[in-house]
Amino acid sequence: MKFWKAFLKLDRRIIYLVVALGVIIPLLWPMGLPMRTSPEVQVVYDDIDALEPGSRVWLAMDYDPASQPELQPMSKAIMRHCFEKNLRVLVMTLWPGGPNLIVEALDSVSAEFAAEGKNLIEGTDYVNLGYKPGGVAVILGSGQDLKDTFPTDMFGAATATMPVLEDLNSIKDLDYMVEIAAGSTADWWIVYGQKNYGFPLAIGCTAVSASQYYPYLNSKQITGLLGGLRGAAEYELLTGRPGIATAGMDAQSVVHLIVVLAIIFANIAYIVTLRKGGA
Amino acid sequence: MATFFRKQLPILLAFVFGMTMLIRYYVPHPISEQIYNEFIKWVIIIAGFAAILGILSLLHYHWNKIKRRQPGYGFSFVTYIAFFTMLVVGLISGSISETGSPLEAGTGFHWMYINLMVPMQSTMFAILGFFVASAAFRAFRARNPEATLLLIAAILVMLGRVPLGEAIWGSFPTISDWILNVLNMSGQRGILLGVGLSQIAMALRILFGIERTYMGGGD
Amino acid sequence: MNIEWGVIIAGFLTLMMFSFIFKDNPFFKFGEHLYLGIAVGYYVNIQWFNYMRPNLIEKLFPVLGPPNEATLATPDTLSFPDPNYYVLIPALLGIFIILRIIPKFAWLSRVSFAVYIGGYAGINFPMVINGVILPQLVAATAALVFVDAVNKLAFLDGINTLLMMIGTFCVLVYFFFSIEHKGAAGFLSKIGIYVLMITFGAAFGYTVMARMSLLIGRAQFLLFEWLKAFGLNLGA
Repeated sequence: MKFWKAFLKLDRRIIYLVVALGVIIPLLWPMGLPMRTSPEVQVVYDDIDALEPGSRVWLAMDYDPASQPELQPMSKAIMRHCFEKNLRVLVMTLWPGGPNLIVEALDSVSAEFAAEGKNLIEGTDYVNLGYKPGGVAVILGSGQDLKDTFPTDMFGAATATMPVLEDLNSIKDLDYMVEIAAGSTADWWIVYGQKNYGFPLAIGCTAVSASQYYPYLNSKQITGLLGGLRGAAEYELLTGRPGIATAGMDAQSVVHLIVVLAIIFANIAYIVTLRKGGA
Repeated sequence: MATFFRKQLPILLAFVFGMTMLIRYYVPHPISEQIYNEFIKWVIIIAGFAAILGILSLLHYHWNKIKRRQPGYGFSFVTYIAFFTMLVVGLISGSISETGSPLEAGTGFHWMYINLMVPMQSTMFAILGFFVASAAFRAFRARNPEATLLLIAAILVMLGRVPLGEAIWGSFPTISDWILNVLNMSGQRGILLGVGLSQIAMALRILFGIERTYMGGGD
Repeated sequence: MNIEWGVIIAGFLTLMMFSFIFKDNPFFKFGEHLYLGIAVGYYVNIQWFNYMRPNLIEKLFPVLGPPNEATLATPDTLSFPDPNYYVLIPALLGIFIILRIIPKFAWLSRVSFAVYIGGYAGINFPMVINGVILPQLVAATAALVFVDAVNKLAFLDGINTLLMMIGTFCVLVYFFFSIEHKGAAGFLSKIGIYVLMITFGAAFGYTVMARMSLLIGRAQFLLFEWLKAFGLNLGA
């Protein structure tokens, strides 16, 4: 009784310490627990894998550093898969804090490929279209007149004659699109983009909003869904290039168990003290 | 006359522009298509100015704090120094970089983004990891049937989404997938339809001048 | 040895921000204000280089922008796209928005907001109907198939489809505040509440992963990049 009462008054700093250890220990001594692939991730992988070489994939990286640990691995895993399959990648963002995350991702992924002897050329194999304000209007503008909405790439080079954008005047001619989202931009790409211009669309999002996109998955408005770090890790494993997301999953396991145990024991304590307290 | 410009004109403009866009959807015509295309470009440009307004009002807030010597105004100097440093580094990076843009990899500007902005913003949100654990411990109580359902669904989804849950019992992922794809899906669909209907009602209220909250700011 | 100053600074800033979990302190305050300044400086550059210059300035004065690619090879005939003066209208509306900070002219921003919000409402109306309401209603009323020669699990799928229908319907009954929640409506809306509770529970369960991902991301940085900059290699 006394024990449970004291347990309920546990100092929050002890919880913080347990969480910190739950993160650090599995990172230093990984267990490498196996993970099965969710059907909604597999479908995205299969779709991209089946595209013809030279097909154009639009990658919207709609997030900023706040959700970068969760979503940057996802974007990179998609980029790696596309480049491996010789697809052309068109990257942009609707978030003002995001453009240099595109630079970081393209820079590090193309360096990986260069190390493997495959040199990717900016403007031919990929383009960084950078940021535009206006949200929905940017999506509609890209559907009406892509090169007028993005007259230059992120660094000021004209898009009109860029080989990667050859004969592409609207997002309706895209072969595939992946939207990596930290907020409601995913809804915009579904409602204003996919619905109006008909390109196949997959969503990758933070675990905060992942549960919201199941209705769109069910209505087939989106092809697949990568939810949070787990989604990124599964994709990394599918491409055969396990990275930082896969490495983080053991720590996820342990802290999730900590949170679950915290809820269960706090509730046992709550019920025990309630009964004995005669409330 | 002055009140016409301040009160009636905005409502009239909202109606005219709204109706033009609405009619173009149902009656596509080369002219209405062109107006639509032009309007979308306008919105992008107007939105950019709105972003500038946000930046200006933030700087204005900290300027006032310094001017009035409010508590902690010294920190507002930090904001200003950081702002001008980033601004100047951007301009210099742009002038010496190959493309004339400071945004590419290898510039001082990109360096500051990666080594200052990214760690600080990421960490600010990483702190929530500690708080979510503490909140789960403190606030999650099976007080009534509703709270109990919430708690059980949360625990099952948590265990189903991590490899350890799968290792403990192979059926956790199946159960969590079922919750997400069936029960959660139907609830989210209900919310989506509810929000969608209210968005439509809001659009009509704006078109017909009933909703005027956007008119705030000056009289 | 090459000292990675960037990583070292980033690590100290990370710890500075983490110090907030004990309590609000001057280190965190300093970091918070430093972040704000850096972020605003970043946004100004982004707005200028990614939007203001290509979408506005270079449309008005094409000579400042990239020339026509075809004429690049021969400097004598170098030509530029034609200017587009239409952009002056939204630019003026944009300036009206900024005038909000001057009380005397603040009302001008109403004109801009009216154009923006009114036009957007007109665009939004049909697109929400066609992009959200109709597809979701169509999916919500999918045919119930319990027996299928090919799909052996058709019966279970049929049950699930039925559950989804009932769930969505009950949630909508709960949202429909105009009717009194009594009798049959009361029963259905009670089920609606239960479905919503499960939905929120699932969302919370998923959210834990999001919050922890950010924490893990920072821990990975500190352990494997920051300590490495001091010569301590922990692998991975």
